[in-house]
Amino acid sequence: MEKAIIAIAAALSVGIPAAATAYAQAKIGTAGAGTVAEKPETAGTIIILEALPETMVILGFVVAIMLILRFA
Amino acid sequence: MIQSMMRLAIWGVAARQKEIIQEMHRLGVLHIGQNGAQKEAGPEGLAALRLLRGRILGLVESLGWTRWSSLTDENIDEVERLMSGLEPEELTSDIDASIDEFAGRLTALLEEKNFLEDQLSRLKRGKDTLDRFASFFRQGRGGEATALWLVSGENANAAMGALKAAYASGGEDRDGRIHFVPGRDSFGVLGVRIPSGFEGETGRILTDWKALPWDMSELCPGVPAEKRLEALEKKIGEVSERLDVISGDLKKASSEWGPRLGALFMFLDGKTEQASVEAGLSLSPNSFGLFGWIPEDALLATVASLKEKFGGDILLQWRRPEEDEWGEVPTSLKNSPLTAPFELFLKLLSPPSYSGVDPTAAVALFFPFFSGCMIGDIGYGAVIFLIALRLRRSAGAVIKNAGSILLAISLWSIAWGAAWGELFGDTGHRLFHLEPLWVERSESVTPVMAFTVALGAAHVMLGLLIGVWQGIKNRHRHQWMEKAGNLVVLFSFIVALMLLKAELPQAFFSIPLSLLVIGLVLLVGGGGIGGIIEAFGSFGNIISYVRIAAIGLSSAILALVASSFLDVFGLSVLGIILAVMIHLLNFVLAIGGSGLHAARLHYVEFFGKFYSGNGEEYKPFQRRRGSSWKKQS
Repeated sequence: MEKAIIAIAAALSVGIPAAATAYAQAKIGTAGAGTVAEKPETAGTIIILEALPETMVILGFVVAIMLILRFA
Repeated sequence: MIQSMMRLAIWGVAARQKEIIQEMHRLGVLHIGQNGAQKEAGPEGLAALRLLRGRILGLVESLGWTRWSSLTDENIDEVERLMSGLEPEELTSDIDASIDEFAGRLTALLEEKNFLEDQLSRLKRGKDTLDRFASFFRQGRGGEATALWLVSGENANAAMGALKAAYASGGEDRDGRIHFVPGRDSFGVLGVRIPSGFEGETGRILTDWKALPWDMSELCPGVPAEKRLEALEKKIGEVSERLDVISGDLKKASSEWGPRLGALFMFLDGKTEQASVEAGLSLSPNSFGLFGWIPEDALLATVASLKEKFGGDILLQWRRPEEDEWGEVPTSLKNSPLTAPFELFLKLLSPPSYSGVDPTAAVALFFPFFSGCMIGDIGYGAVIFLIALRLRRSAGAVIKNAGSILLAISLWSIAWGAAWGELFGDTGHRLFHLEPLWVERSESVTPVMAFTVALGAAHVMLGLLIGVWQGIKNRHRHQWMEKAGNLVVLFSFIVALMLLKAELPQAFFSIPLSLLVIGLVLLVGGGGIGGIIEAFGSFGNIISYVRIAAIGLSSAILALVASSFLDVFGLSVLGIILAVMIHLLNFVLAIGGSGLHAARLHYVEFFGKFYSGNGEEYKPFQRRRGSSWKKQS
């Protein structure tokens, strides 16, 4: 039972930031596509902006691994 | 690295101005300074040249000719020889007159093609609709008239109800027949077989419901409704045939005239650019002056060439840019053949400033290393190697560069594959008892994560170090203090961690504590409170490198899943197909994911520490080459 709860916690620590990242990237992506269409020279900046929210999932992944290694 | 530039000033006698400008255009090394060119305004001849250049480009695009890369300098030189000695006014009038007839014929062909394409589309739509009335027409009885009406979808049911009621009142033998086909928009077509004697009544009812008779007079005039399908098919055949003839003519014209007009455009473009530079020269009655920026290694050859050709009619002065001029100096990158393909990463950003740092060498070192670490499979690496070799044989510069980048990634993938002991997942272990040289990453997650964080710390600290050096070089006190403070704070934490790990006495902790204080003082001195926030960001940046382990782990597990299909289905066709498909998916994800994430680590985590892309790209005054200029114009 305890292991199952830890597994759920680990899954949530990746899943919730993943959903949040997806939401943020969708918003940035639509705006970014419009911007690049107007000004192709902004492509680099848009890639950076698009990539920024991914850090949330990476931090979630670190938390998940810590949960599993420490408690499971 | 960023090439060292020289400021070159050219003074010449006015009589040889045109020749000197032409020679500079031929040499193609001078980036004209801001005072040297006046792009927007100019004499009337320049405006006419620009107009003609636009007209020629319009013709080339109308022909659909795009093989700009196939144009050689010889093609353009040939046009130049034919046009030599003509003044811009004569040039424009002569060319204008000679292409008038061709432009007229081309326009007529294109207009006919557009008209026929439009007609064909309408004919096909009409045929599609009539196809759906085929059985309706076949069941016609003698003495009944057949008519088609356009009616809006919302009125169709009501109109059909009214018609049925009217026909029913005439008795059983006068039932008529109605068939409605909805169209793509809000209108549809109503087919009505009208019992004799009800023609007027039918027309009145349908007009009341705002229907319009559809006699298809524009597509097949005067043809009775039941014969229209046949007539439309015949007409579609005729129009398609004529379209084929026109397309053939256009293709022939494109292959014959495209290269000629392309070369003419390139020639006119050169003339326009030269005239534009001439219009912006600083002039006195007998002389003119032009200045610009030239790479230091091209200076001596250029000076020698100009001196040899113009002797005493030209005076040249050159010097290094002053510190207050650095903002105006264009940036030209020059890297070794091994690292030059990685300049591709800077194309997505504004170029670095002249006083900045070119990070290409660092990208060439770290990008394939990170990407290879994520892929980490000998088999995948070998496949990427083969793809890279194929791409490197391509004629396009961008694809060739992408091939070189992939080649570096493939070599690191193979090296990391050996470290993780992976060859198409665990296939290598199953078949050849391949063992990891370091750890099996799908089992030992912690050491891999720790390694990637250490890698991140090194990468971020290298970025900060470059930032410090850049700040000192450009005498930006705030910049170097902030970057140095950030660096020292990070270093103090690393030292503290090492001391903790080594379980040394507490007295040793005074070292990281002192470093932390020094770092904080530098941070506040350089960037104020913002500097401290920046330092927190650096810790986040370092943790971000865990993605290398995370993506690598997912790739390794997906490869294991692929192989496990063979365990479930045995060595059967189904098992092999499923395993190959999963490996293929993993391979595509590995290339895409590793490339994107490695690029992100550079753009965000690494470049963020020092890169200031506010430079001006070095654009020498020269003939355009290839087709990349089309993206810029």
